[in-house]
Amino acid sequence: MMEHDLAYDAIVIGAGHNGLVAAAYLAEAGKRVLVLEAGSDVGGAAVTAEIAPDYMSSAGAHLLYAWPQRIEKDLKLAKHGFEMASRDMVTVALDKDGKHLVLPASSRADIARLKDRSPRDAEAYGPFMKRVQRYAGLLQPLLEKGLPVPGEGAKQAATDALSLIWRFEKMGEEDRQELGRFLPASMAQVLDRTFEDPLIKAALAMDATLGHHMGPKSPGSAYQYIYRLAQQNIAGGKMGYPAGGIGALPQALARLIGESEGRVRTNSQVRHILVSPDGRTEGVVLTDGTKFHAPIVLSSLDPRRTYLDLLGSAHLAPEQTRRLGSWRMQGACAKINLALEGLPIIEGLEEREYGGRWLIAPDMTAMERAFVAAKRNELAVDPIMEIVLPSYHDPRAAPPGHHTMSILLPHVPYELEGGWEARRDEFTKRVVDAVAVYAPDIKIKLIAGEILTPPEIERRFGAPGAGWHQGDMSLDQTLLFRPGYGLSHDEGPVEGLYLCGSGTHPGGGLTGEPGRLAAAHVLEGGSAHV
Amino acid sequence: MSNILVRPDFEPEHHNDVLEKHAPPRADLFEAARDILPFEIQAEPTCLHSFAATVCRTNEWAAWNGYTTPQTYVSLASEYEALHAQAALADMSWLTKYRISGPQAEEFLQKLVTRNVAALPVHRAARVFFCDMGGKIVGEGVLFRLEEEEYRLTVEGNHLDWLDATAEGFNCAVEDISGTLGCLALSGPQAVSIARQRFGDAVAALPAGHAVWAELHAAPVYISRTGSLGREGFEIWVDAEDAPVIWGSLLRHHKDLLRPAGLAACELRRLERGIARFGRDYFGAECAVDPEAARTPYELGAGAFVDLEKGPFNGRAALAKAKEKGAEWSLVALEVSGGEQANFAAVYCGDDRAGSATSTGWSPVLCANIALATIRTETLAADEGFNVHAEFPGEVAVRRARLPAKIARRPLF
Ligand SMILES: Cc1cc2nc3c(=O)[nH]c(=O)nc-3n(C[C@H](O)[C@H](O)[C@H](O)COP(=O)(O)OP(=O)(O)OC[C@H]3O[C@@H](n4cnc5c(N)ncnc54)[C@H](O)[C@@H]3O)c2cc1C
Repeated sequence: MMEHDLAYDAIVIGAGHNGLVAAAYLAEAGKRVLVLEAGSDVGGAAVTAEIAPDYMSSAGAHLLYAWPQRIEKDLKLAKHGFEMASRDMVTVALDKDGKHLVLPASSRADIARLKDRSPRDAEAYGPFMKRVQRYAGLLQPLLEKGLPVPGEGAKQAATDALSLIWRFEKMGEEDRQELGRFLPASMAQVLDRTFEDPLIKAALAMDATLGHHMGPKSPGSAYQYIYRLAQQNIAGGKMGYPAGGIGALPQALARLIGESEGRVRTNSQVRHILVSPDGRTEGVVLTDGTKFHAPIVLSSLDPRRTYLDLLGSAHLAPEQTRRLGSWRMQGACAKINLALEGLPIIEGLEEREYGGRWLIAPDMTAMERAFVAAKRNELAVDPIMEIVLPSYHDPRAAPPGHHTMSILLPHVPYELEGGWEARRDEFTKRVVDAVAVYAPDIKIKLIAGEILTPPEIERRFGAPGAGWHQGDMSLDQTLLFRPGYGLSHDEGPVEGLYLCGSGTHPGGGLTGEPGRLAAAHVLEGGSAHV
Repeated sequence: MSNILVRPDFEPEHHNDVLEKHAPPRADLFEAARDILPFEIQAEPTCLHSFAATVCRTNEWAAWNGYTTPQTYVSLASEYEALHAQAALADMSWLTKYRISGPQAEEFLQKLVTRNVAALPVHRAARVFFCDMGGKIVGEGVLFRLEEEEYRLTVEGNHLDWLDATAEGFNCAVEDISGTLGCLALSGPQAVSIARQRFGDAVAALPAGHAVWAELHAAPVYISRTGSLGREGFEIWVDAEDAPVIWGSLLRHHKDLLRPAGLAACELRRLERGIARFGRDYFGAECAVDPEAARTPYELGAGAFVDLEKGPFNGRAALAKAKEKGAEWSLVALEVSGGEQANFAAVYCGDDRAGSATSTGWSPVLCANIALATIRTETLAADEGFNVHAEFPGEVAVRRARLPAKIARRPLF
């Protein structure tokens, strides 16, 4: 029997981690799933790759900050070889003078460091975190389930809304007003009201802007902070790094699917979603003309590509075409992965802090400058960075004594004035120089490196515009608006088509949640078709 | 609208239900002082503007669909009479016109409108509605099929953005050609005979909804047996540059039979025909501030224009549900008793508010106040009769009375 004659219960387009999570849940429920991936490897932006022979790094995403243990348990990923190397990584805001800050400042020593920089901030920190956690607590239940669709099935919607209103009321007048001011505010406004130390402000502002097309002064960035907090809380509140690098996660998911009745097929780019004359999904066609049939299709691509390119707007209502036309996917970033002959020495850093998530962001002004530079298609004078040492967590990532460094650079223009080809080296040099301010020996220890410019990230990971999330996570593109009425998981424009990527609720980052929720929708609502 | 015909023996005091004897002064005495908002100023001239202006004796103009058009030329009474007894020529160039062409024009239109476009032959016209996802009307108009792959859609309001969003993914072009095309409505009992003399037998014999190419003074004209002014009427579609020639020629050659008619007479005639007007009798889904103010075709009594079986189109799912559920609102024609022109808006069923009249007028031929009103469907089945709270404009004071009203068949005349 030829392979395209095989009947599947469901087809998943794209083997990014969300597509794989969705497929794995379906496979676990006994469905025959086929995952089709355009690239030669699974994982999307979540892959482990060689920088040079024997030196491995997480090529794209490099940190699990919101990966829910619940999914690990549901899918028994440990059985399929998935293991975390670290589960409790701290954030280290690097300081030029060695007075680094560790966040969250939970231990006495960490608070002492904060006090050392600013006694006032040390006092403000606890109440601030409590407050923002309360706000995140309000959002969290909305991210844990599929959002209700207005109109039909409004009962659940009503319950959810009432529960939200009740919790909102319970907050008390002062908190409510504060939240009202908070949501549309910029993170800089919020932080300037609360703290004085530029470093802690920058460190907190990083979580509000990383991966977003926003600087600390952008209105709405405070909301991004709350959103990320809620995502982190769902995941247990800790950052971690998997053994084998980020790529180990999709690999384990793919193994699970392969061991079930499902199948993951790489080098299979989907060109079209097939629709029957009565408006139901029938399957897909690949660019090489191969057809696969299934009554259910889940797409882990962003809504725009899914609906406009693969489905075709002829199947959409004009309201939907308009909505998708204005879907914003910005916030390009770059990656630099380095192979080092030894551990880069940073003055004042304690041993365990080498396993942390380092931030190079001295103050919010530098961050805002980097954002503004990117908006103008220019390079930042002082690049902003998030750094992880994969080899610190995973000794297999480098030969003994050697190390790898993964540098994520937000606020890098997709289209660079003068062109990326001409300015790659200049950019790399700027970044290495900037790291050397903190780790002066890095230049001597450097043996190899790879740079991924935004266009390369787009090409290699299939991330449109080199953005993180398949669509900005601003208020108008989250929750019910991700991606919008009649376009979300459970009520697509054609029957049997679901979105399961980070372009749908509850959004981006390595969370697997869009995939999990989409699978739940298929299994609950769509069970009649499977 | 001026008081053009009052039954001489009519005295409002005969109504024993006079609500107020000593009423406050008329509110509309101060109407002229109303401020005009900047976005309300619409003064685009039609291609016939200067020619219409020379025969417009009253200098009463109306802003209509973004254009300036005469309200009356000489008097409402004479223009209305022409429409009923002889023939009238009206400038309808203010209509919005879209040209839709290309290999997938038909597929696009199938998706856009609720009616089956595949069944529309070349040189035919059909009234169409287009709806949003919720089944609410976004716009309505008349669709002409000019060629196998070319259509013209004439509407009121601006819907280019909606058409573009719908056309996404179809191999067809949508162009706004409003400014390049004039439209003259020829209507009235003598219209057919005028058409025969000027354009020939083929035009005169056109059945309703059909269209044909003809020529006048070497100008190509497309003539359709369409229009909202009466059963005996044509619409003459002509290049904007040629429009004045046709206009002048028709009026000159048939001056005994044919008069120009302004918007006031046309609107009154439309009301008598019982035809609801977009933007007046109901709001388009895209401009209704309150979504409740938008209507489905079923609520307009235009269910016959929805073909749920023809395949997918915008709003089909919602319309199927709406049909099953039944219309909450119904657009109806009302005839209000009492032989004097009255102003009214609210419609009551017994003492309960049932809905609102959106177009009202005094029909001399029926000698009655008539209206188009949107009322709650459930009130149609009620035993109690309808009534309106009418105001009779007097010199300074208003007289008020409750007048019985009854649902009338459309067209009323
Ligand atoms: C450089 C970078 C760094 C990041 N760092 C982090 C981080 O440290 N921590 C974190 O939590 N998040 C990070 N993110 C965000 C995170 O990686 C994304 O949110 C996440 O990968 C999205 O996963 P996804 O499965 O929804 O979509 P994707 O990973 O985009 O998966 C989509 C898949 O579909 C495939 N595809 C595309 N078109 C077709 C087609 N026509 N047919 C078949 N297959 C197709 C693509 O090749 C891809 O594999 C980072 C993102 C980037 C770009």
